[in-house]
Amino acid sequence: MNYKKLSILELHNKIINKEISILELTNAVIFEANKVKSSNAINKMNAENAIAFSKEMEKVLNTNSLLYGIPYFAKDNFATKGLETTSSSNILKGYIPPFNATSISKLEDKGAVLIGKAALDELGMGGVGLYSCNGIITNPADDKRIVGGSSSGSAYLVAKGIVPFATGSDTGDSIRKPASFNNIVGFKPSYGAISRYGLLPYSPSLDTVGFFTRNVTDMAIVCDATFGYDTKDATSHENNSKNMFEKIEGLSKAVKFGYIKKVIDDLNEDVKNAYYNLFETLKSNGFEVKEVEFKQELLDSLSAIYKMISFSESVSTNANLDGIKFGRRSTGTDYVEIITNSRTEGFGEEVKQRFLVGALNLNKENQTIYLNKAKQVRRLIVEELNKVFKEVDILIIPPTDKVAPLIEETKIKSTPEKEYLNDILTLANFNGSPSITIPFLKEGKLGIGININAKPKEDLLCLQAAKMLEDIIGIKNEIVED
Amino acid sequence: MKDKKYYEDLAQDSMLKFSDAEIDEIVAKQEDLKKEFEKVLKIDTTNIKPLFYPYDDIHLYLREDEETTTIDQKIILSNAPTSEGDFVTIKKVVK
Repeated sequence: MNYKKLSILELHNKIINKEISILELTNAVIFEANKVKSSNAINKMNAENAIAFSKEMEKVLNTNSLLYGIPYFAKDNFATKGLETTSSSNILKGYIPPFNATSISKLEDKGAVLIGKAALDELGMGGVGLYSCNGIITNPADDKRIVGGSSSGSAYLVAKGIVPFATGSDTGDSIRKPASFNNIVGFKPSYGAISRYGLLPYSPSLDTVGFFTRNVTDMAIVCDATFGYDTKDATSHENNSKNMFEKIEGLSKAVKFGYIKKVIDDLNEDVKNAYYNLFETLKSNGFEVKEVEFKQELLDSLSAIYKMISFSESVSTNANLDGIKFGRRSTGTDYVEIITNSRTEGFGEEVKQRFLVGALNLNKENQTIYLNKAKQVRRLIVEELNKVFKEVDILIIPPTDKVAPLIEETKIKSTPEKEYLNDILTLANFNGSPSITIPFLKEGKLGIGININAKPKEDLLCLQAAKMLEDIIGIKNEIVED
Repeated sequence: MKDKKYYEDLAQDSMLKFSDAEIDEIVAKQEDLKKEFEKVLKIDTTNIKPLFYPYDDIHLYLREDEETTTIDQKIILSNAPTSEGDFVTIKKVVK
């Protein structure tokens, strides 16, 4: 069965019209997933359970749920009951959660079929796809290039057409940057729109649950299924964006678009021109597009602020990984040595270095100098964004200024005055904005996305704007064929 | 410039050990990191309150104390690398 190019909606229609059976689809997906095992994109398959679940669901066809029988992968930092969850870290090898993340339970309630767990940069740390304990994951369109991360496996599997959607998590840009590198859609909803209960935390003041799909309408479907307040997550909220699938076409012509001129002007010539052409097209479609101001010193500080805050938080959120209660334990003469050895042998280089920088910021003498300062600047960034969203409804940002870099290029630094462009997506983590990347430009099989942001908690507006832009740009449902 | 010992102590705070080569690499990277952090230190934050979460309205209430989650003891023990009876075990330290 060739299902790979089909969207969630198309698969749904085929299921309810009985053109394909859920079991047949599940089996086809398992077959295709097994074919890409050497990509390292998959940490664990859930084949037996997926087949049993599909058989159960075929008994009663729930035509009301658009996700009924739809296969997906979960990033391996989502707790899945009875299924190994390692977050691509050796220290968590063998850990079997006794509960589901709320988002996983919600998807299960809607009848979505969990095919397996997708690999990531260890514990969500890294933007490349090179830091999973199970080996590097490369771009499905060109194995000399990065796939991006940290939601690397999820991006790979959606871009390759193995599943029509996958879960991801986004602390800095972990969904939106790989989406840009892979011609797919990646959405980080508003902070707290989707419960984080059961998401292994990296940096709780920034972490957000989100998804990859291959078009914006499918994204609305998975968001409708998973948004909502959860008593188990103290930072979750009741979001007013509901029935987003039904309302996806309803963007008002009064919506104002904005961009930061210096950001667009700092892009390479071709990409810059593409943005200005798009702005002209928007204007000719009746939309207002205006230039907005943003203090450059704040943009230049994004990378440092991100490191100061997220690395510090990661030290404390991962303090429970000690090899004592669960996961992999190393030997030692006493508990201090056992924990130290378990952590030293269990974590990869990138993670350990981030912990060290985090510990540096958490050191008593540095807490005021660095960490408190970072949080003050975070407020300035948020206030600057508030000003932007007083002037415009949608802020357009370039998620990347070029196609996925070659692996060896990741070590090369960009020109210092343009370095801030690498971290610009963190804006939406600092203020909690909904932020979506959709395909924009294509260079052969590779691509460059465009990123669309709205005021926090205006998720529907963000998706509607993305849908309108998707229609104008005209790239969707892309897959990398064998 | 902080010395190697400083970083070794920091590593110990996070219950980690680094080899000499790793520490050398970290010390070398610190200069870049310091330069990066200095960009932040230059920003005027007089009278600016730190922001801990994206929104100020988070954690403004306490939920009802009725949510309880319990995990079956057997499952907890089965996830532990070693256990005995009702307990997760580690190395015996009191002889």
